[in-house]
Amino acid sequence: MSASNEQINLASVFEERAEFLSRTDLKDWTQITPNNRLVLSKLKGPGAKLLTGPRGSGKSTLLRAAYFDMVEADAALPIYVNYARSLALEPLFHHNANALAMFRQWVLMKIVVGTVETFEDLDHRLPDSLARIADDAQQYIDRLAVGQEPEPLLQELSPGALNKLLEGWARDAGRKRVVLLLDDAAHAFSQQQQREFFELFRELRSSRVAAKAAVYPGITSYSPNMHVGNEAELIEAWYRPDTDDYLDTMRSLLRRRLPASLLQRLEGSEELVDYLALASFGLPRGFLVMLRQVLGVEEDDAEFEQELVTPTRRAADRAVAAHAQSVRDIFESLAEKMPRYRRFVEVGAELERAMVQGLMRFNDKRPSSAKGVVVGLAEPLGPQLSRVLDMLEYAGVVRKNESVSRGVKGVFQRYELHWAIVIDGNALSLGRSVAVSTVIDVLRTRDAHAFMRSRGTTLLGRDFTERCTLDLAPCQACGTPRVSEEAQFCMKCGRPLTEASIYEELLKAPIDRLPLTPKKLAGLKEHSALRTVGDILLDDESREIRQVPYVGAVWSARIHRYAEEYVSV
Amino acid sequence: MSEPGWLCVCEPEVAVQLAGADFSAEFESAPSSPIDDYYAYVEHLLTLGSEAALEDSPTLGRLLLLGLVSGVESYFRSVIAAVVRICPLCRVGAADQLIPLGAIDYYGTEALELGLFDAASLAGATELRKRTHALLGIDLNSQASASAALSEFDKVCHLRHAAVHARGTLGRGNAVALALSADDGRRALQVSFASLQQAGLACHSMVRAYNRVVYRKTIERWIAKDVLVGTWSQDKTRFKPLFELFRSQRDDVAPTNAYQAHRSLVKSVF
Repeated sequence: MSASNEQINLASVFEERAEFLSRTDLKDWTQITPNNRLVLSKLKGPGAKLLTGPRGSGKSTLLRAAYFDMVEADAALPIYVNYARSLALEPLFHHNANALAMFRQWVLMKIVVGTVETFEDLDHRLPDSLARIADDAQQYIDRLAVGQEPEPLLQELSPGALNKLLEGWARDAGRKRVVLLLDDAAHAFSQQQQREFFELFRELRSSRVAAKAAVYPGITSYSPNMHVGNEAELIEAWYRPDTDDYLDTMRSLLRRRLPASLLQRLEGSEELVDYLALASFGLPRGFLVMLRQVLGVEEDDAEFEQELVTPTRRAADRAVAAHAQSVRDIFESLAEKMPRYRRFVEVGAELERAMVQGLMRFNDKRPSSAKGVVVGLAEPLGPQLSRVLDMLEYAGVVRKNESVSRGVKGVFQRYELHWAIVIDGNALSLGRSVAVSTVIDVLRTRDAHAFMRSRGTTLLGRDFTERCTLDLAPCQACGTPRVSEEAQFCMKCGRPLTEASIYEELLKAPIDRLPLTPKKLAGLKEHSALRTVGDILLDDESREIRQVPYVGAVWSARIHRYAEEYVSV
Repeated sequence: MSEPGWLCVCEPEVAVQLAGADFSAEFESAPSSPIDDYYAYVEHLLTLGSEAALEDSPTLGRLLLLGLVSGVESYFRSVIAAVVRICPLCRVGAADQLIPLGAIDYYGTEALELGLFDAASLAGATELRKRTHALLGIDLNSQASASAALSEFDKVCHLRHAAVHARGTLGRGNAVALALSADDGRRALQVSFASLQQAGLACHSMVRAYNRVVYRKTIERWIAKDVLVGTWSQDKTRFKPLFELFRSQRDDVAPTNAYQAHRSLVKSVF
């Protein structure tokens, strides 16, 4: 194998996003656990489902796996659609009174285009009724993707009309029913779009059509008519790192994914692999990212040449620390993507630090079997603390467990802190030079029921609710503070209160905001004119990016993906 | 003279004589474009609707809704009348419209087009579409954004109708237009701070959409019929008043003056 082919292959081994994996890679690499099998069965079956989990929990992997399973079987016609670029439509809401109508058609046209892709995967001729509208649908989507108002559709669809078409297309393909697999459906940054999406989701159902959507926990806004639980079953994609088979699952994922050359380098480092698996907190993407760093696949990863031969504890700790920071970065990026909640994000970062410190004190002098990674917050949490916790849950900083009653002491809502943050912050109070095996033991054998009891005021101070206020921009004309979130006009001068388009602001963000290595960032600045996230997205064919030394096909694709993720969900 | 007891159901009426002059002052035409005039009027009106004031008086919300729609209606009348005056194509189209004879004396020849709207209401989507088509030759149904804005404005008109004619009680027609379920029974108008702000936004969107569409479609018609030929010397007599009719100084997004706007038009179209 040539050097560049090997590099490409290695890079795709660590390819983090399921929707970019080929069918073969997905089949070969996806670790199907008993829990996965249950989830897959629900995704392929009848009834509306909401698949929930933070970034990197495997939602897209499961949806794609379900898709390919159904393509190969003959019962259902699967249609996979990814809505990650919905934020690109957000500027339309600032310029067009019919933006909501366009968004609705965009959601439905994406399903039409997804159906074309399914027929191609099935190697079936397109039914006439699909062929007639497919080009129109594609053009509609393409125009909206670049923020332009599209030409009116030849045939606008309602959910009911689309249901009937889908049933007909399933019959044409010799299938009895239709399963819609709607990925990245929770658009955390446009509540209007979210509510509209879930109204459509409710209506995309019939005796032969069932829709499944991947959503984030915590901050998804459902439409007022949507009753989660009643109208759609909630299923969790997130692996539980405290289950008996968790480490076996992650080891198996590794064996399926890595080529022999890399597996060989991990021989003798099984403990480090388990350490990283636990630090990933049940999120396969985090596990792969840390492994990539420890194996020194990227030239920036290794500090010492020796690390390119044998993974070291030091490299593993660096990877865990970097991963903990990346989880915090996802949370903190909410301040840009939901600017009104900037202060809530500040309080959330404070809460995370306070939880680490609190757990450290709780765990100090406790035996291993009694150490905890869970903080129980006394109910009622109140709207401000609930909001902060919802945002932390979205980013995967915490995982919500069931609430627990302690009798007269009250009811506690339990939140488990991300284990990379727990390890990096020494929240287990094990000291800094503790053996990897000790960390693994404590996380595996601790009492799952132990939790640190606290309340919001204890962790954040009595005045924290006063700090949880919406950051509303004042009137641009006269500077008067906005009276409330509902105000659309200044109550002093009467001028409309304008809001910048979030998407347009994200496009203007400097490239420093992307999770690039320092070398790559410096390279882009020195050898290209790319300065903003928008510049990268406009560099369609990567002409500018490829001018940077040591940036080939793999890295340029990755840089593009980082930019797309930055302006997406 | 005393009444028999059985007649005394309430206090009797008194004699009143209203003098129209007590309720009127000299009309002052707005120094700005119709859209800027609308902005000035409505933006003052909205500052009267604070959360506390609306909670203290349910009547205030209804009155402010009435004021909002009145502001938009006045904008429509001003724009349509002015376009009929400026546009030779609209003038031909409106030539067969009837106006009362008294309109000549009341409005004078300089504002005679306003006589087209005496006893007409533009507080509703149907009438506005009809008038815009009949007088300006523009089909609002084919303009997606303006049509969407008009649908939302129509809802505000229904709310205003209930406020004006039934002291806030929504009639069956209003309820249907507002997509309220019959299962909820009779409904009454309730104007909170949030809902008044949304109504204001719907009205602003309507005016802005209409302003942009009528300007653009008039220019397109003029180009198609050679009313505009692409040179400033020949076009300025018509173009300048049209541009100034629609330009908002307040929004400050338009080219600096009619000449710059014309240059931009020539670059993109001719």
